[in-house]
Amino acid sequence: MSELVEITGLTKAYDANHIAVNDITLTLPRGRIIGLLGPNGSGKTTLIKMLNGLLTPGRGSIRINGQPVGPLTKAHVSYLPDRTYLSGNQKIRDVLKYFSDFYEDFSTEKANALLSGLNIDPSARMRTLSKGTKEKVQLILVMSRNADLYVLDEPIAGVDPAARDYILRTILNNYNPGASVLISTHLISDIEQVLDEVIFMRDGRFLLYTSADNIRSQHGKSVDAYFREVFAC
Amino acid sequence: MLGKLFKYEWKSTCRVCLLLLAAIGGTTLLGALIFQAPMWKNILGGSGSAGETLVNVVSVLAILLYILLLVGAFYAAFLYLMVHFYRSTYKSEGYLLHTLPVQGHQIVFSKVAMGSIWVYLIYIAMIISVTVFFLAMISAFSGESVFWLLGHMRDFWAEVSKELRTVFGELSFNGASWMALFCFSLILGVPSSLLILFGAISLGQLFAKNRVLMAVVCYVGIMIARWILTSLSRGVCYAVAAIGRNGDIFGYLNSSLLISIVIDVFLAVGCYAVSCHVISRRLNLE
Repeated sequence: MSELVEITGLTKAYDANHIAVNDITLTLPRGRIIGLLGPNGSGKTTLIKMLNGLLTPGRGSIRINGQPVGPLTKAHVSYLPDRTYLSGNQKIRDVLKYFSDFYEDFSTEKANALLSGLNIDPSARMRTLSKGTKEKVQLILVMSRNADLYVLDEPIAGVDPAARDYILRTILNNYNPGASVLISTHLISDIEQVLDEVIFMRDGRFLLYTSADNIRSQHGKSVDAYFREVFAC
Repeated sequence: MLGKLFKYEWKSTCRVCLLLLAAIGGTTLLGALIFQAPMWKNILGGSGSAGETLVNVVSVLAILLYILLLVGAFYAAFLYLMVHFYRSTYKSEGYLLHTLPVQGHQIVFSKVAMGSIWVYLIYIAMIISVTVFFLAMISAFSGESVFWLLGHMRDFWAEVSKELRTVFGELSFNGASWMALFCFSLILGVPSSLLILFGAISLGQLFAKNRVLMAVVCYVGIMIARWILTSLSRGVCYAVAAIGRNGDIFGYLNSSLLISIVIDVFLAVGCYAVSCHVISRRLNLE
């Protein structure tokens, strides 16, 4: 079977002086948890938004399951953005219905079980939830899909350590094993134990794409320590 | 998927649009109650007192308020649908909308279709409101009950139609066809206005900065282009009517209305294509 994601010569410039993603070529395999790591402004979110069709590339192409980004790929990519995207007026129950209506791979049973495990009332409106609970609800929505690719943009930013543990457990316990998970973050120490592979990004380019074990064996350091060394200011 | 988009677009706009319809209902009640004010008895009876001046002023202000509320509700519907389109398509909620496995044209179509239905409902509510308002007014002047008037509305319309046919017949003007064309232009005007608004918002998204401002600039630009095209074509129609057909003013009315419709259709189709293109191929969510 072909690679899950094929990126060729991908470039995105917001203006003449700001190239967010610069001529990236990469393939992502199936069945891996991949950390997309880099400092702020390195182009992680821009790349993720292009993978999800929220930004149009200036040059280059992205193919997921052999298809260009569009309705066909969106049916198989489960995306957690770095912001709250649900309307405050919506009840959680209505959002579950929304997801089950549009995504064939969404499991309402799984979502309800996850909500119940966190004692989140499905009849609550989104605007009544705390920031951390909103993030958990969004993660539950994303991880209740049986997708081919999960793209998680800063899933653990801005939540307390206990919530981070919960989020990481949820990701590990709920993703489709045949799928890949792309996690963008700069809180590396919290997630490095779950990563199979890591990508380092700086100034819109890939510095490194290797396995987490390779970093540990070749450099004798944790991914976090190696990241700090590479990106030392 | 289009059916699901319709369903959720309807649900997401339901609350505000129902509030607007309720506001029109309240305004209608106000409009009907105005004619229970003492002012009308004074007018009819030819008597009055200085002490009732304040009541009279209040009644006149209430009529003005009625008109303002009714017109306000109509424009509020467009304003709301415009803001809703912007927020749900190009702001944070767009992160959900644009990751759904749906086509860009389905998104635009569902928003225009549901928005149009709401505006039509508001149109109908306004027609009912104005009818009630005039019935209450006629009732105040004639002394007949509103229900009696309602029962005789059919006769009234028959009389008006007869008079209009006589007048149009004398003027050799096909009033029915002009009226049909006018109604068609009103019906078409709703989706066409929404498409122009949505198209301008989408054009604003093509700019890197100040997207809302650029959307306003694009809207003004489109409206100026529409005005120029309409004026030019009306000028041509008038010239043709004046020179070629010995001043056939009714021919001019028909053809200028027809041309306005054609221009609106042209602009609406163009704006629909622009919105679809931006969402499908040029999307750049901030």
